[in-house]
Order: sequence, then structure tokens, then C-alpha cells
Amino acid sequence: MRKSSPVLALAGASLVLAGCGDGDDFDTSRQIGPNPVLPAPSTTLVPDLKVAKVVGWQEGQTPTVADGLVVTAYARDLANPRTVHTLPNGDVLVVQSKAPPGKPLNRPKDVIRGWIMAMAAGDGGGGKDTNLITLLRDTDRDGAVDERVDLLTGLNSPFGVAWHDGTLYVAAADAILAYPYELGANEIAAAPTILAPLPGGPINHHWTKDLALSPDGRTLYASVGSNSNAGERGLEAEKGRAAIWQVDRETGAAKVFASGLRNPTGLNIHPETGELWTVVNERDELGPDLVPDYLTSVQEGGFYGWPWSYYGQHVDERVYPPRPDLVETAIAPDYALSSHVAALGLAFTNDSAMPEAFADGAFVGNRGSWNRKAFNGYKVIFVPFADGKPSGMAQDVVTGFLDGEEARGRPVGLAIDGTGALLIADDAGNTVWRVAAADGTVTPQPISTDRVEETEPPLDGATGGAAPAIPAAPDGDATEPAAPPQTDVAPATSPEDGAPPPQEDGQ
Amino acid sequence: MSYTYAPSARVAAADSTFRILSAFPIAAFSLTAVTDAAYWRTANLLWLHFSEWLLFAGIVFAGLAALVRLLGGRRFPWTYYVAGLAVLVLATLNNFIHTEDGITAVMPYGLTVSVLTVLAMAATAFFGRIGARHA
Repeated sequence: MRKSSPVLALAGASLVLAGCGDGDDFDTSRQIGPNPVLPAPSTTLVPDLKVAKVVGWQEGQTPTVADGLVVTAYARDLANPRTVHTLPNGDVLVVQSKAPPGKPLNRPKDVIRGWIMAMAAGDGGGGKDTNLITLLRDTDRDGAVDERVDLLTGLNSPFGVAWHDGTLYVAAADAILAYPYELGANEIAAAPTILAPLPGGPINHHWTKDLALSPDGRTLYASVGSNSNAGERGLEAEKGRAAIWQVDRETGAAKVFASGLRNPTGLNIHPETGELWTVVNERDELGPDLVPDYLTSVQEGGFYGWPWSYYGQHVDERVYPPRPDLVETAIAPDYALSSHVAALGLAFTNDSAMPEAFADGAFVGNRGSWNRKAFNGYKVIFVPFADGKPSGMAQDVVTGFLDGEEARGRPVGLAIDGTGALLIADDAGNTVWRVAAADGTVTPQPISTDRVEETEPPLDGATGGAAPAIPAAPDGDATEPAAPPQTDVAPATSPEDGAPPPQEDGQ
Repeated sequence: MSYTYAPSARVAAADSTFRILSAFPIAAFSLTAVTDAAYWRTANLLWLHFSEWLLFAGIVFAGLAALVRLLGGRRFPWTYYVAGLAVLVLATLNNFIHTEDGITAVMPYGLTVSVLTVLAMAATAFFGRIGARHA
């Protein structure tokens, strides 16, 4: 910022464009909860850019935890751990990845953005190879890892994982891959099949595809982030993106379940209501206090506004041409988390071994801001729930990722481990942290991240409600009341990673 | 003899270098006004990207041209320098305006500044010509 100041002063002398909203006096807690205060958009000539430089954790340093909790390093020396996932037997998968390369640079601005994001990502895992999945096994359930093995390596920027019925599903940057894998095994030798392609490169701006499994075990939900901040790469780039897909686990048939969600991750089924929940990263460059990231339940067929509007029906004037017909249908999300916190992880605490204060609610991992001068995020918070809905003010649970102007780590994915404690994937600190009840409480048995009900639904008939993907009609259908948002149109893409095609049928 | 010959050769070299360099911003900034208007009318992002790169290339060569002019030794009336500075300031500003995502990169400020830049270039040429006559 300091470098560009003389230029700005020169420019500002000739034409006053817009107020340089600093926002330092804005109370970010006013944007936490179901009804966030939304100031008017403010644009500056140069967007606010302030990323904490990643310095890593020194020996003996740990994050700070709330009263009644203890924190330990569950696994160190990882390579950009982004998500953690607990299998039904209590084994933990750590997905490590970095952004896929080769994003085209369309604008002078894209080059500068590349530098900033590289800085935010830290040193790239200390030179270690990333894009792998590591299995951590706590055999005696004492909260310390006893066995550690790299299960899959050389993946194409993986993020989400799910397991059911002898199959491990991995959401790579461009497809859901299915690997035969039995619980307890230390190795996967078989090549994967492609369950379903997902929108991939070459842009793949928000590339992290998360996964969640429906309670009946039939449906996978896959999140696909947008290809731009606010549609500035054109709507062709957004087909099937800024959306959550519903994929049939047996057939791979896929459709868009909900759209208008700019960058959804942390997909989780609420343990009591069975509803799908997600955290979403909202858009940048509308000022330090717009737009709040949020936590929301996701309605089937729901449209949440992106890119045309935010937080319900607040129109984003940048998006051209406007679509007032779609803005009218936009749903406001459930719970705001304040602006630019970069919420990426979500874990429900129900039935975990966390203390009473955290018995009903959700932990949210906020990786931390870049598009505002005062840091926001860089911590894990707890959102209390009641009757399956957020209820009350969020509180800080795990802090200390930030040390002044520098970051020791950045929390991303969350999960409850096999003993009922919270795991935090720290992608900049290359560590998985375990936050447990200080009194040593553990759950009687492991709880899987995807809680599938034991009772299998009756067989045959419908394929779990997932309709096959229907290609868009070549020209306008007169019976349609309005053209669907581009994000609802699922593309017929193939993964570009050279993975083998599906092998089950020889057509 | 060589004492009087050297400065005029330097001025001539600077003059021709300036003409070559200034051709870029003249073309680039004029086209930016057109491509800005094209994006506004068509919503095709191609035109916005043209504007961004034209502005970027234009300001690089405009900066070099200004440097050559200032070091080149030839004198112009003060109005010429003011108009030239206005071109640089407006084009720099316009580069930043065009980093916005979407239509706000162009409407209303982007296109306005693009047109003002063209007017400032015309004024620079006009004052430069007057100065040349009286030189």
C-alpha cells in the first residue's frame, strides 16, 4: 500500500473518486448474527490489501484456547493441510493441497493478485510435496497419533473427502474420484474411477471442492466455488459454479442442488435436522465491511444471489448486465460471520466430547482477511445452536494464529476426531491442532464426520432423488418463466487431469 | 563548430524518439475511449480487457515519452507541460479505475476519464504546435 501512495496522491489531486472508507472504527461484531449491519458499498482506487506474512510456529508455540479446553499438535510437518475428516472407525484423513497451476491472467490486475495470494499461502508447505492425503490413526484413543501413513499422493488439488460402503470419495479440483478402500487399511493400490466430473480448469479460481454425504448414504453433496470475485470473468466461466452439486453415489448422476453461493466449503449435515449446512466466502472490493461471509442451511433449488446480489437482495452494481428477475428470488443466508474472515471450515459439536458450553452448535474456521486494513478472522469461533438453528452470539474459541502483523498459521478445515475433540487443519502452519476438553472426556465410540444412519433405506427404485444432469436447451424454452442463473447450468466437462475414464460399463 | 552542432543533434534525436514513443499513448488512449464505450454497449468483457491493456501499455510509453521530452532540451510554453501532465495523471487514474470488477470499471468514471484523456492529448498537441511556431 505504501508504495502506491505517491501515485494515489497524484491521482487524487486531479479527481476525487470515492471516499477511502477505512472501517477501523466499524465494530465487526455488528456483522455477526442473523441480521448483519450492511454499510453502503465503498470502492477505492486501489483495493485494501493486507495479508499477514506467514512466519510459522516456533517450537513450543500453540494457538490459544478458551477456558476448559486444551490444545495440542495432533500432526506436524504436513504440507498445506486444508481439510480433516474422521472415518467411522476414528481414523483421520488430512487432505493437503495447493491451488492448481495455470490460471490464465486476463488483466494487468490478475498478475498483482497472484503475488498477494502466493504471500497469503505461505511458503508452500516448506518445500514438501503437497496434494496428498495422509491417514492419522490414534489406536488407543488417547488424543495422540500412533500411526501416520500417506494414503494417496500426486492428486489434483484435492479438498473434500467422504467414505461409505467400501469406497473413499475424493473431490479433486475437477472431479469426484472413487477409490476402493476398506476401513483400517493403510494403502490404496487401485486406480480411481471418476464418479462425476466437476467444473475444473483452466481458470478454477475458487478450486476447493468440498464433500458431504447425506444421512441415508445415497447422495454426495459437492461444493463448487465461483470462477471470479463478482462475475468479472464472464458468465460462461460460471457454469455449474458458485453452487452445491448433488451427486448420486451409485450412478454419479449430478445436478445443481443450490446456487448463488460464491465460495461454499465446510459442507456438513446438521446431526439433528438432517439439513445441509455450509460456510460461504462472500465477495471482495466493496469496502472493508462488505460483504459478510456466512453460515447457512442450504435449501434444495435455493438461489443465494451471487453474483447479482449479496445477503439476500442487496444488488451488486458491478455485475453487468443486471438481473433484477434473479435478485428477486435470492434467499438471505442464516447467520453472518462478518466481512472478509474467510470462513472455510465447519464442524457441528453435537454428541462430541467438548465441554457443556460447546454441546450444541458449530465451530467455524476463519482463515483470515486480506481485503481490509484491520485483520479479521484468523481464528476458530463457536456459533451456538438451538433447535437446529444458530442462536446467540459467536465466541472466540481458538486464537493466537495472528502475532501482531504476522501469522503463525491460518485455520481452514475442521472436524471432530475419533475421540470427540476438535481438529483444526492449519494450512499455513502445516499443522493439525487438536482442541479437547481439559478434563480429558472422550466419546464412548468414534463419530464419523459424515454421520450415516445405520438403517439402510429400502432398496431399488429411485436413485436417491438425484436426477440425471440435463443439458441446457440450445435456445430459450417458452415454458420457462425465467432463464436460470448461469450457475445452475451444469457443464458436460471431462476432468483434465488425465485420470482414467469410468470403467464400469464398456460402451 | 562541433560545440554548436552537438545540442541540435541531441534535440533532433530526442524529438524523433518522442514522436515514436508518443504514438503509443495517442493510439492506446484514443482506442480506450472506444473500447470502454463498446463494453458499456455490448457487455462483452473482451472490450473491457482491451481497455485495461491499452491503458497499461499507454501509460508505460507515455511515461517514457515524457521522460524523453523533459530531458530532450527543447522548450515549450508552460501550457504544453500542464496539458501533458494532465494526460499522465488522467491515464494513471484511469488504470486504477479499470481494475474494478464489472461495469463500475467503465461507468461512469472510466469512460469519462478516457474521454478527458483524449481531450488532454489534443490540448497537448495544440499547445505543442503553438510553441513550435514561436520557437
